[in-house]
Amino acid sequence: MALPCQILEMSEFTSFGLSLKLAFLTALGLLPLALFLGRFLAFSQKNWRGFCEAGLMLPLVLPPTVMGYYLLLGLGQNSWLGGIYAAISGKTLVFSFEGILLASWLFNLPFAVQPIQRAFAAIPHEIREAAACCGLSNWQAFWRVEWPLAWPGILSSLLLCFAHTLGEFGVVLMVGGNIPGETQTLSLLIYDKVQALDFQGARGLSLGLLVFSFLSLAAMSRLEKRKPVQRTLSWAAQGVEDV
Amino acid sequence: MSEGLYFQVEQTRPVPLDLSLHLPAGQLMILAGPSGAGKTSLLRLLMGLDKPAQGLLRLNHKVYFNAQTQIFVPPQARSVGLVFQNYALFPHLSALENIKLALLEQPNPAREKLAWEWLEKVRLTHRAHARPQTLSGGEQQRLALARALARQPELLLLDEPFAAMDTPLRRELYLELAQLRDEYPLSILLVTHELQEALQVADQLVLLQAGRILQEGPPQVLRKAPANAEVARLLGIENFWPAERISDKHVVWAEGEIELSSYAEASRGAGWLMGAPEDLVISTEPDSSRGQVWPARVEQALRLGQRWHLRLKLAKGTPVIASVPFAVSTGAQIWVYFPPQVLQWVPESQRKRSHRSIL
Repeated sequence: MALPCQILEMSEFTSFGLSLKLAFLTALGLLPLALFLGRFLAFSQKNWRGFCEAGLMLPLVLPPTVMGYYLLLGLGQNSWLGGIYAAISGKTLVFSFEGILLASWLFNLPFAVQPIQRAFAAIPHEIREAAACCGLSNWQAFWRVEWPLAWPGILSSLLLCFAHTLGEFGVVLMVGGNIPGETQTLSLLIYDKVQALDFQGARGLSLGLLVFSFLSLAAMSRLEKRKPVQRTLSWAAQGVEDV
Repeated sequence: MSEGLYFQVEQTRPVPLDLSLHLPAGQLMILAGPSGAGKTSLLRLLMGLDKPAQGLLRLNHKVYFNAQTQIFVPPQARSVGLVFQNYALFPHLSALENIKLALLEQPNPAREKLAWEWLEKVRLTHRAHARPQTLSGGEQQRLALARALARQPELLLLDEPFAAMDTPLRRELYLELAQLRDEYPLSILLVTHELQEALQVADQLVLLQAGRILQEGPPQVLRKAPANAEVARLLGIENFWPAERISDKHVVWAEGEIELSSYAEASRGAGWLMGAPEDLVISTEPDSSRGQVWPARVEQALRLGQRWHLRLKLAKGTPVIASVPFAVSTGAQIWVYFPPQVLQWVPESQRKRSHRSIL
């Protein structure tokens, strides 16, 4: 049995690092926006909430090629975003790590927002009203009541984003261009290896991703179970009636 | 005593409300009415969780809402405490922390001390570190009460606090509320279906129906002179019959002429005759020594604890509900005596009276 450092070639090592970096930055960078959107969607009574939700779900149903196509258009040098970026950094946004990070934020939105939205929606509205009745400002209510009840959902969101970014293929390929050392993530490397009939190399990497993804999902489902809100709900739902 | 609560509201949505209320400081008011009458909506407006379309809300001369001047004070800034129907305790905090969270305005050492004091007042010091889910229903309620009172509100609102309580617990809570009312300069407004105990403790009783006040006043007064059949039903007077007053002491109803005590309000004309089930005298023999007896057939006899609950039908089909301490079988022939002093008379004209302005 060989040691890991002997199994990993240089390209595998950089791809692995790149994937981890991308997953980390995606999950953490998306958190503030996901918190805001998730909480808003959970509590808002506005009519256009439905449109917002539909928009957020798009990355779930669109083929990665469609997402990739629009992202290439939107981030390309002829677009205003790409233009500004090129003017500042002297680099193009497409086929760069920054480009795939931006793309990654977009296609991870539903994965980041949904667990958070569910967690906030599970807080009984009387509990939030009770916070107001106890004199807590919105900000105090968020930190002292909502956050402690919703944190498992927030952690789920981070884990799901992380795992999903590691596994993303299509959009990263289209926007990033599969450049080794810059945009070649682990899943792209596996693709390359299979294309080159290097099944031996693809096997280890695939197994690694499989195990990691499974562990993330298992951790998430554990989190869902230990949600303090879940335990409370049945108890809080007793005797709610009347207008 | 000063102003207390003054509230006047007019709205059609989400729940129609059109009424004005005045609760003097230091009094306990019971708000009762059928489901959907707008009781909970009213509490939410008072707390500031909802905003009415039109109206005015003052508590001890502080304006909390005024539609004309666009004043709306949010719940955080109101001197009002609310005990939710399901208590809405913070599930992630212990009993002690639940109270401490309501005391955020206080500096930390004082907060801890005050929270312990409140726990002691509601006899929960031994459960200080327990989560609300592990408390019994009564303990949860006492905790919710302590949390609502911790900010020393001038008005305490309770939404159906008896929904899940048995009679001894209900009585205990009523006594606690009565004590609180006397100890603090506190007005209490309580929403309930259960009027039995309410009648003994309340200073004011307000009966609500479809967002309007059906009748209001001290409970003794309402019990003696319910404004109409609806009020009588809410107050637990089960028998009310349409009738015509022909003299001070005589009323004609579907069964003929019946005698009334002359104490009853003496207006002539159409109205309602009422009598509580347990006040009627039932006998198995036609014993007319006390006065006129009416033959009746027992349509249904149900044993409820120590008493039998009877549905009777008089000769001309008038339904009568009676309650007796002895067994009577369904289908039996019996005789009913209506003692004049237990019969109440409510003239028709009062039925139209609904809501009037107080100030």
